[in-house]
Amino acid sequence: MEQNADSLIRLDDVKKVFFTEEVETHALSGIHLEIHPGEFLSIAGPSGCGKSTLLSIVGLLDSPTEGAYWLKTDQVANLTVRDRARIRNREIGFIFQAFNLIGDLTVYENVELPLIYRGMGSSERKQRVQEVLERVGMAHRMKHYPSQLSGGQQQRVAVARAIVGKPAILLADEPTGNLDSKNGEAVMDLLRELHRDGATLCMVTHDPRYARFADRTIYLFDGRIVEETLGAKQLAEGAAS
Amino acid sequence: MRGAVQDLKYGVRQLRRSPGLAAVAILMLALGIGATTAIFGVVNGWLFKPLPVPQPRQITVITGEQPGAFNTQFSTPEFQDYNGQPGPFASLFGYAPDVVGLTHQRHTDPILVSYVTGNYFSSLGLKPYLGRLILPSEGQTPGADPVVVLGYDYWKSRFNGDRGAIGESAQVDGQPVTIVGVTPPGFHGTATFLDMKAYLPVSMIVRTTDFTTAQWTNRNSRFLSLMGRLKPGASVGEAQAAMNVEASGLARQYPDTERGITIYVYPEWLARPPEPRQLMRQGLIAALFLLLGGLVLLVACFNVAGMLIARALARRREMAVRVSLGATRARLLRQMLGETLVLALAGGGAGLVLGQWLARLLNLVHTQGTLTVRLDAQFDWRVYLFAFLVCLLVAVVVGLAPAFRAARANPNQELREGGSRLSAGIRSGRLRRALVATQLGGSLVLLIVSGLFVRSLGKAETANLGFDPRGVTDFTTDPAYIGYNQAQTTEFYKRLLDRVRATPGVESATLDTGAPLSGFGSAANVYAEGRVLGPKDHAPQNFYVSVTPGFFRTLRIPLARGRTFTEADGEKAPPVAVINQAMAKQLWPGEDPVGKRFRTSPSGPWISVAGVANDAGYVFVGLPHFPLFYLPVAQHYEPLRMLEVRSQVAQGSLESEIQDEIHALDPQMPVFDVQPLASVVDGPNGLMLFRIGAVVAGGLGLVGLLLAAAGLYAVISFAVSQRRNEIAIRMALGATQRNVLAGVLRDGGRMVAIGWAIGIPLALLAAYAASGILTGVGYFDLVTYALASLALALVAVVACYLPARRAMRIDPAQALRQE
Ligand SMILES: Nc1ncnc2c1ncn2[C@@H]1O[C@H](COP(=O)(O)OP(=O)(O)OP(=O)(O)O)[C@@H](O)[C@H]1O
Ligand SMILES: [Mg+2]
Repeated sequence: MEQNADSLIRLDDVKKVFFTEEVETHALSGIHLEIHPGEFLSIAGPSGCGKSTLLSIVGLLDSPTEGAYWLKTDQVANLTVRDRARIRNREIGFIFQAFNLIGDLTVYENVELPLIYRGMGSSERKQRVQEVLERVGMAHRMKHYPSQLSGGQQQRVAVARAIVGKPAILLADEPTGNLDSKNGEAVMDLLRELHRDGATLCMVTHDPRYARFADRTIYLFDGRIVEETLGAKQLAEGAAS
Repeated sequence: MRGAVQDLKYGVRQLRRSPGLAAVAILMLALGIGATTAIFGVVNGWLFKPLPVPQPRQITVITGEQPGAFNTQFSTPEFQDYNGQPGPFASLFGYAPDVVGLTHQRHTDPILVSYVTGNYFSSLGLKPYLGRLILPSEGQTPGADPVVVLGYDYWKSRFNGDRGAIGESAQVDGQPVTIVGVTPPGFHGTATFLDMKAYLPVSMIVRTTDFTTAQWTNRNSRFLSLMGRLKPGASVGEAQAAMNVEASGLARQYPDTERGITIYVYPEWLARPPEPRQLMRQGLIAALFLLLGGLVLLVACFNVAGMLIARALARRREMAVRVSLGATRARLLRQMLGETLVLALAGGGAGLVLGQWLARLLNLVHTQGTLTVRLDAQFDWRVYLFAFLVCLLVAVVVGLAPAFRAARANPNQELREGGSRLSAGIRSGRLRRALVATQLGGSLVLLIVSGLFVRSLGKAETANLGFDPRGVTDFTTDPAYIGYNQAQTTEFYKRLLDRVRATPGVESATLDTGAPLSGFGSAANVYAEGRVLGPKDHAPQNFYVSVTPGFFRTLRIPLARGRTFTEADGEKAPPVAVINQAMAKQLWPGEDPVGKRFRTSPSGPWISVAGVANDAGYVFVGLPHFPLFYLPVAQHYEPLRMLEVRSQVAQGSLESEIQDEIHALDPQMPVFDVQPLASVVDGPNGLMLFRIGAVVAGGLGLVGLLLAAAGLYAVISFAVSQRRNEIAIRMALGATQRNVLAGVLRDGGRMVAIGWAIGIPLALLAAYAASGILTGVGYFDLVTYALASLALALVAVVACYLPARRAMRIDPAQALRQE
C-alpha cells in the first residue's frame, strides 16, 4: 500500500499485544487511522480501551506488534531505538495529563530540553524558548521551578515545551485531566489557538465539551475503533460541498 | 532510661523488618570496625599495653647519650654509681640482650636471652611461675652465679612444659648452668618487639662471651640497657633532675669517660624502642596506619548512612504520621539513633571477630631465625573499649544525618498531597551525594597511600642491592656456644672452609661475622688519621663486619678501587680494611682513600685502607649508602660466623651436605639460620617491613575502594529508580539512550570529581606523613597519583554503568502512564 501524499500519519491494521506473566492483553487490534496536516483529532473511549496505547504508538514511544505506520512518507514501525528518539524529538510534541515537568529544572530549562537533545546552539535556543514562553504567557515565570507554579501554569509550560521544537504533530493525553474546569478551559483555549495557527493536534479526552472542538473524533472500545464522527465545522463544510 | 531501652527494642524491630539492608550495613561496618580495631590492636600492643608487671607506670627507661654515638647503654661501673644514688628511684636495673647457644640433652639451640642485673626481676616485681627468678644477690661478681631462668613460652616449647626441668643442668655457650625457674606467662622481657627465651645473671657475660673481666670494670664498655622503678609518688621529672645531678657529678669525677653524656629518663611506654629520635616516628607510623583504618571505617559509615538516608526518604510518610500523632522531633531523633546504635553494635561485634582474626594473622608475622620479632596484637580491654567507643561514634556518624532527615518530616505536606506530582529529582539526594563524594575522596587517599607502599616495595625489591643473593646459601654457627676457645674456633673454621670449598658444585665460599641484612655485625667509632677532633666533635660510628678473603667474590660485591683481602692479610700482617664508597666519602671526600689510615679507638692501631668496595644495602635495604667497612677475619676475631656458599647445586642437597661437613668436624656443633641469602633479603632488615606495609595498606586500599564503589553504585541506583519517570519523560522528548547514559555518568562523574578534589590534598598530607617510612618513592609520586585516580575512575564507571544500563532500558511510554 502507498502512503497517501496528503496524510501526515497513517496507521494500517495496527495491533498491539502486551505480554505480561502469561497474560496477553490485546490493547489494540485492526486500527486504521489517518491524520492529515492541520487536523485536530480527538480520541475518546472508556478507561482501558487503548487510548494511551494508541497515542504512544503514534508518538513512537512504543511500536506496534503488527501493522504498518507511516509518518510523512517514512515507514517508522520498525526503526532503531536511536532513530525513534530522533524522530520523537523533531516531529512530535507531547503534552501529558500529569504535566511531567522535571522538578529539578527551571521553567526555562524544561522548555529548552528538546532543543538540547537536538543539538541546537544556545543563542538560537534562547530565542526559541523565549518566543514560545511568550506564546503561552509564561515568559515572566522563566526562572521558577515547576513546584512554584499552579497546575494550569505548569500545563502551559508543558505546552510550550511540546511546541518549542516545531513538531509535525502535537499529542496530548487528557491534558486537562488534572486541572479544574477554569484552568482546563484556559489550556484548551491555548490548544485551539495553536490549531487555528496550523498545528496538527491529536488529543485523548473524556470530556465531551472539549471533544467538540475537534475536527473529528474517533471512539475506541476494547482496542477497536467503533465509531467516527466529524466536528460541527466539518459537518457544515461537508454539507456545503 | 526505659525510653532508651524502648528505642533500642524498636531499632531491633525496624532492622528485622529489612534484614537485607541490616545485613549489608552490618557487614560494611564490620569491615571498617574490624580493620580499625586490628590496627589499633597492633598499636596497642606496641605503644599502649603496659609491661605485665605490678605498677607498670612506675617503670622508666634511662638512656645515656654521647654525641655521635648510637650507643645509649651503660657500663657496669656506671650502673653501680647511678644505682647507688637512687633518689626518686626505688631501684635501677639493667639488661643486655644477646644470642647464645643453649645445650640441653646434647642438643644446642641458638636463643635470644637477656643478661640481667640481679635486681631485674625483683625491681619489676615479678613472681616466678616455677622455681625462682634471678636474685638481687646474684650477678654481682663477674663469672659467678651459673644459673638460667627460662621464659614461659620457651619452657613450653623446648621443655614441653616439664616441671622436672627445674634443677636440671644445661650449658650456655658451653658453660654449665642450672635451670632454676620459669618466668610468668605473658612476660617476654623488656626489649621492644623482641621475645626473650631465657635470662642469665649479667655476671655470666664474662663466661659466655668474649667480654672480659677488665671490661667489667671499664666505664667505657657500655652494654647494659638501663631501666628504673620510681618510688611511689615520684615523677619522671624528679627522676630526670636527680639523674642530671648524678651525671654531672660523675662527669667531674671521671671526665675521660663521662663528659658530655646526657641522661634521658622516659616513661617506659614512651620508649619503645628507647631511641629518642624514634619517638616521633613511632607515633607517626601508628597514626598513619590508624588513619588508614579510620578512612576505611569512614567510607563504610558513609555507605550505611547513605542507605539509611534513602530509607528515611521512603519512610517520610510514616514519620509524618508519627508527628501528626504528637511525637516530638527529639523523640523521632532518638528512635532513629536507637536503630543505628543497634546497627553499630552489631557491626562492632562482627568487626571484633574479624579484627581478632586479622590481628592473629599479624601476630603470625614472625621472623624465621633467631631474633624473633613479636607483634603483640592480642586484644585486651583497651582494644574492646576502643571498639566500643568506635561503635558509639559510628552510630552518631551514621545515624545523625538520616535521623534529622526523618525528623524533619512535614506532616502537612506529606499527608495532604500524597507525594509530589513532580518527578523526584536529584535535589533530594544532595546529602547522599556529598557523603559519596567524601567516600570517594577517602578511598582515593587510601589508594594513593597504599599505592605508595606497594611502589616502595617494588622499588626496594628491584633496587640494586649491591650484592647478588642468587645462588648463595647462609649457614650460621658459633663454636663458642659449645665452649670452644679462640684457638679451637680458628682451627675449626679453617678446616671447615677447606672442606666446603672442596665440596663438588661449590663455586666459592666465605665466612663472615654478619651476612648482608642478617642483623649481625658490629659498630665502631672511626678516627681518620691526621684529623683532629674539636672538643665538641665526635668520631662517627660506622658499621663493620669481619670477612675471609673469598667474601667479595662470593657475594659479588664489585670493587671500586684498590684490592680486596688475600691470605697474606693474616694475624701478623699490617692491619687493613676495605671500606665502602659511603665511608670513603665520609672520611676522605674527593680524595683517593687507598693507602689512607683510620683507627677504631683514639689510641688503637692504625688500619690502612686497601680497597674501596661499591655500596651495598648491607645494614637495611632502605639504607644502601650507610658507611661501612670490612676487616679481615684473621685480624679481628669473633666466634660467631656465617658461612656463605655460592653454588649451582640444588638448595636442599647443598644444605644437608654442608651441615654434614660441619658435623663431621664436630657432631655437637650447632648450625642454625640455614637459608638462602635471598630469603634473608626478605627478612626484618630486608623487605619484611615493606611487605607488611604494602600488604596492610594495600588491603585497606582495596577494601576502601570496594566500599566506595558500593556507595556510588547504591546512590546512582537509587537515583535511577527515583528518576524512572523523569528519564521516561526525557526519552519522550527525544533523549537518546546515549543521552541517558551520559546523564547518569555525568551524575557519577561529578561525585568522582568532588571526591578527587577532596582526596588529593588529603592524600598529599598523608603521603607526606608517610614519606619517612617510604623509600624509593617521593610523597608526590606522580605515577601513583595517576594510577590511583585512574583506578578510582574505572571503578566509578563500572559502578555507574550498571544502573545506567537499567536507566537506558526504561520504557519511554511510561511517561504517559503517570497521573
Ligand atoms: N505496558 C503495559 N503492559 C501491559 N498491559 C498494558 C500496558 N499498557 C497498557 N496495558 C493495557 O492495555 C490496555 C489499554 O491501556 P491504555 O493505557 O491504552 O488505556 P486507556 O484507554 O488510556 O485508559 P485510561 O482512560 O484509563 O487512561 C489496558 O487493559 C492496560 O491494562
Ligand atoms: Mg490513558
